Amino acid sequence: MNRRYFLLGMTGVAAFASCGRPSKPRLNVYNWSAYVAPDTISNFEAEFGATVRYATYESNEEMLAKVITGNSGWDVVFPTYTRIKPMLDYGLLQPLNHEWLPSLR
Amino acid sequence: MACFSHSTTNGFPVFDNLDPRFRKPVWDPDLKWNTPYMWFGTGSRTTATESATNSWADLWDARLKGRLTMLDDPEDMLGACLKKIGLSFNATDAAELERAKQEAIAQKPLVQAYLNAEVRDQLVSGDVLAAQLWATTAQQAVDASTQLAFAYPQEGFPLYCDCAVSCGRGERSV
Repeated sequence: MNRRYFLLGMTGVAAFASCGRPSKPRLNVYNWSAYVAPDTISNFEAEFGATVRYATYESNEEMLAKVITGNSGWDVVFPTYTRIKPMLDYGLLQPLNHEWLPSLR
Repeated sequence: MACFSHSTTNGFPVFDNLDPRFRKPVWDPDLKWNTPYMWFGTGSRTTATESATNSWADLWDARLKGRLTMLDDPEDMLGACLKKIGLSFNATDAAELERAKQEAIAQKPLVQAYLNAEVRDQLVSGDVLAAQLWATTAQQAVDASTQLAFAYPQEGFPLYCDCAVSCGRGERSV
């Protein structure tokens, strides 16, 4: 398991941490193109019993255009650090719950 | 928590493998909003059959006319212009930015397009001979072709980090 896979798993764990639905939960991940291995998504789904909706973008602006409404449906996205402050200012980000992210401690 | 609790006991030493500068990143030192995901710089890429660029100034070579791309990211495109003339990538002085602007205008007749990660495919196919590109995307092109070389320009280059953030709402929030 490489670091990319782990980090994806880590964020996924957190996003589902409060799920109580009987159906298989779905994580919506929007990432840069070619940033995970071909089998990463299927491995994640098998390990965590989840469904992943995965799509890719080629630039920060392409991603921002989708999420700037604040109701895009994407749970986890991957901005370059310079876009974090603007996204925060627009109220687009949720704080991370470190209780659910033990590797960050 | 119960849904995926087993994952929290695996104890991956993920941060032990992360460069210290990204464990408390200056843009979010408490990791309240992000987890560092992948870091990289920008540099330039050429076909190995041409003389490999190791300088931003090489991207102003007239022989590249029509087969050169620059990033469509304003800070990076202008940053390359700034570094070419020996100024800081982070320059904010109006006179310095004007000089960078003139460099960009001088280069524009050579530029096929201002693109982003999608230029990877044109590099692999050979349609584009040189490009300003993220190191991460450049590696993907290298992996797909034996004809490509990548360089961090000698004048200097920026470092970046892509970060995982949560846009989830309500009960889906992280």
